[in-house]
Amino acid sequence: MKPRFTPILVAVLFVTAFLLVSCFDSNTEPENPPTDVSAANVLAREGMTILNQTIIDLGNNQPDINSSEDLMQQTTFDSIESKFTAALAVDANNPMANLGMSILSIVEINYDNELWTMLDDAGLINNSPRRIINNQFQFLASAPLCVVNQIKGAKTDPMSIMRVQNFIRNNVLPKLDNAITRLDKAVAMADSTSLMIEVDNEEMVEIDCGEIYAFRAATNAVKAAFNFMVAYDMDMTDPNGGYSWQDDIQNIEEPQGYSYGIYDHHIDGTILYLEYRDDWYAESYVQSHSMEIMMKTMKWNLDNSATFGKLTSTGVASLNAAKAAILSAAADVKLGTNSILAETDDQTNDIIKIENINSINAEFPFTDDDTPAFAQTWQNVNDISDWLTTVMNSTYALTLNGVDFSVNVGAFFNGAILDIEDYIPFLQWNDPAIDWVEDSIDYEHGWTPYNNSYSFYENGVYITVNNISYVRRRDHDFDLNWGNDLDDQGNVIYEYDVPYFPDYTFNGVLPGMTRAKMLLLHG
Amino acid sequence: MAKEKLFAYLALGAYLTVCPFLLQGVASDSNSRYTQKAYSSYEIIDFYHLNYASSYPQYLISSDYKLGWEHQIANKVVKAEYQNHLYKGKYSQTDHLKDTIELYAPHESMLLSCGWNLKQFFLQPHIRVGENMGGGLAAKYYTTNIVYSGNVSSKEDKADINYSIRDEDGNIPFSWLKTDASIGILSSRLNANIKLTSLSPVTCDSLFDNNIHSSSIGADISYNINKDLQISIQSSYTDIDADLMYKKQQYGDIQNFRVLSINTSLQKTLPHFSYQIGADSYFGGIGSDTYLDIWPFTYLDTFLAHRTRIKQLGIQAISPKLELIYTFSAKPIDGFNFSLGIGYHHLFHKEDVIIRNRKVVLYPFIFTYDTNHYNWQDDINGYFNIPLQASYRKEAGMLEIKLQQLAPIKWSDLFTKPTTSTGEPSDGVKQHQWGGLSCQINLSFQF
Repeated sequence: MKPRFTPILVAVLFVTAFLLVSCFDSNTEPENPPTDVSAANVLAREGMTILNQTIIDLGNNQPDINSSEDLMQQTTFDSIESKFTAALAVDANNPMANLGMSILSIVEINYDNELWTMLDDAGLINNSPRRIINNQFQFLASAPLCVVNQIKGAKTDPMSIMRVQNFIRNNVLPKLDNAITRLDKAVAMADSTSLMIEVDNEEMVEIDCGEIYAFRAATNAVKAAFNFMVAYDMDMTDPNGGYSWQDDIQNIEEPQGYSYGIYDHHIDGTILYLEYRDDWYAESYVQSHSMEIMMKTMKWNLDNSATFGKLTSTGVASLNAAKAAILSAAADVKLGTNSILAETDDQTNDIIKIENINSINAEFPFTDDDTPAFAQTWQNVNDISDWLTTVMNSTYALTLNGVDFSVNVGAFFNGAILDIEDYIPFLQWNDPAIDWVEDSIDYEHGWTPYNNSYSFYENGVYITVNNISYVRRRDHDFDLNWGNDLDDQGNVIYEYDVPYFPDYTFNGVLPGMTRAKMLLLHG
Repeated sequence: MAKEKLFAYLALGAYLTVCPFLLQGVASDSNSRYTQKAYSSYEIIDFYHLNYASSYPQYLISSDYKLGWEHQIANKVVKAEYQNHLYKGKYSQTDHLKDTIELYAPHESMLLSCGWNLKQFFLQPHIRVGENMGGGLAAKYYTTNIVYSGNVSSKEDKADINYSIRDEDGNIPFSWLKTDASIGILSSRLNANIKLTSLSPVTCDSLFDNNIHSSSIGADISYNINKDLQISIQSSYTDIDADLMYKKQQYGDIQNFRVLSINTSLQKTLPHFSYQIGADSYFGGIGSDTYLDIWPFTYLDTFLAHRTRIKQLGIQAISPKLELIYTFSAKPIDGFNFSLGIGYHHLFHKEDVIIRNRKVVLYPFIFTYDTNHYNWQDDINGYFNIPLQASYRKEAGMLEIKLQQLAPIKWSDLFTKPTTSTGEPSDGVKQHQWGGLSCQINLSFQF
């Protein structure tokens, strides 16, 4: 009996051991542990509450760079980000945390005073909104003008544009990409999760996909604008490759010893001429000479720089990214309106209600006489998105002032304008070696003196002139005489004439465009 | 200052709507020779007017016109009365004259009734036909010394708010059914009434469902202590709730808007003079979740997301009063009669109004509310009341004119010379305000 019992015992022990080992080895926890959604929501809500109040408190606050207020602002942003990061560590798809991170990225850009100070100093936002919150589409609309302003030399405070462009590439665009990625995750989860945000202890508003699409569209618009700003090399150096021209501008001082009011006079026959300067004459001196330095530097860069006014090495990619962002914005508008119109829940606590979209669509079609023909065909908001997509992707026929012409915006975003200098009007520059700033008569007016006599103060001395029939006062100012506009034969043209361009099609952006058509369009 | 005067006049308007009932003239003597009576009355109340640059950007007026006929045939009284009543108001700011909000609340109906005297009973059903339909029943029971009365009636009413702001025009209709029920007792010394009033909503149109619910209870007691001395007490409590809906979406919620008023007076009547002392008190409040979405009707609301919350509407006012009236004749006589009075009502008042307006911080996620506090206790100390009544009576008829002017006053302004002319605001355009005037003309004759 003993020999049979042993194998059975071994088998039992083996099986038992196997089972015991299996028990010890087995992981009672599943391979993918369940996500603690409630914990993530708590963290995300805490972060959103602090972010909400922070944005309200910031308002239009613009603390100086590196001031204690500015540093505290960054500390606050960091603490908010830590809440969202902790929530995402628990639940990577948490919609509230993803939405909060996205909003935080936009807010950080909006309140980045270093960025906006640089943009202002570089002349990129002279007449444009300084911030992007609630201004996103206006910011996009002003971006092309910002770039053109560089060519025109319209800025008055010098700032290396290269420094600004690098900052945008390295700091701003990554934040925008991160924001959009977060919004992609938030919108994916929005309809399956109730996203509620408290408004000042009064009510809760519900965030649905529609609202997130709207915000993503606006964020894409900002992304397009910033990509547009970094596509072209606008960096100006002086002949030795440095930036001493900026120091030269800083060193311009108001002239001393000028007197204001009437500073000279002469008599021609019976006409008394009074030469007059206003009290902003000295300031005008500084501005004109600043502009002279910048325009001469720009002229030197146009003639000698291998890169100025040209697409950067990543310029085509930036323009492509701008185009993609605009197309995404258009698509998001459509996604947003369709999402909202498809909602079936109670609309009471929604921000963008079904009725809002219906009210907007009720404004269509536009029938005013001033409305362009292409806009009169729009029947609803989605038609605008479709139109913009068509314009961006194909050659689009337009009629304006009775003139038929075509626009190929896509050609521009594909890099048709490699070098801006090849497409600026025909110009004749004055010799940079001479002074471009000259005194000029800005305004003249005259009057008949009483009793053929006129008295006035000149440089503090009281003077009376008799036997005169007319007094003429000439107000002086500084004029920047940089050169002339030319026609295509090299002849000087009147400054208010439509300029002559080397290529009216702008390398296919306006296919079929001619000077004759442009004159008709100009009216 | 202009805004404070506006509110002062509007507050006094409440008094004007009540006062005509308190100053009712003595009913003309009934004369058995006459079986028919024709009458007409026209009343206009100018609560407030602002004249600016030869236009009237702000005003509130009401007009009331009646034309009636009664005929007594045996034990029946047949009556027909045409009524046309209108509340009309307008508000626009002087720096945005083209943006206006107008109130228009008309009432036009023909009341037809027939009453029967049945020994000790009097029954008088009536119907209203016309723009504002209705009906009701009045009943009286006579004993030797006491008359018991009861009245129940119901009528339609409506109002419109028309707006034209920033090239957006529209109309917001309100429609309701007003039901009154009252019982009263009248004797040689006592006149007491209790009245219940309710408003219930009626369908406005295909777009709006502005549901107004209101209930009100009031009591009115006057007691003749002796032939010259009378004491009276009136009180009322009103509670209003409203759900305002546009295309089945709620754009406004008025919660528990309540007003309590208590008015007491002691009147001594002498042959040619009467004087009255007393006190009026008003208390008001509103539920803290009351809100209005100002722009729910246009695409602008998509981006403005505007909401106004009335967090608090605390109003407390106690007004002791003294009035003196001179009457030409102790009792109305044939020929010319008139009375002239003057009264002063001092105001102890306190307002605590908190209004919050929602604004966008980061569209479309983050919003906040601005908070505004309002009170007027430093802007008005009291008001004068100047009633004037003149009539010409003959045996068969009467023509009567009643005028009343209320004038608010701030005593410190009387002793302080203003540094700038109140008629010339900083933009150099002259403006002028007035209000608190009511005028009533009554004509009746019997045949």
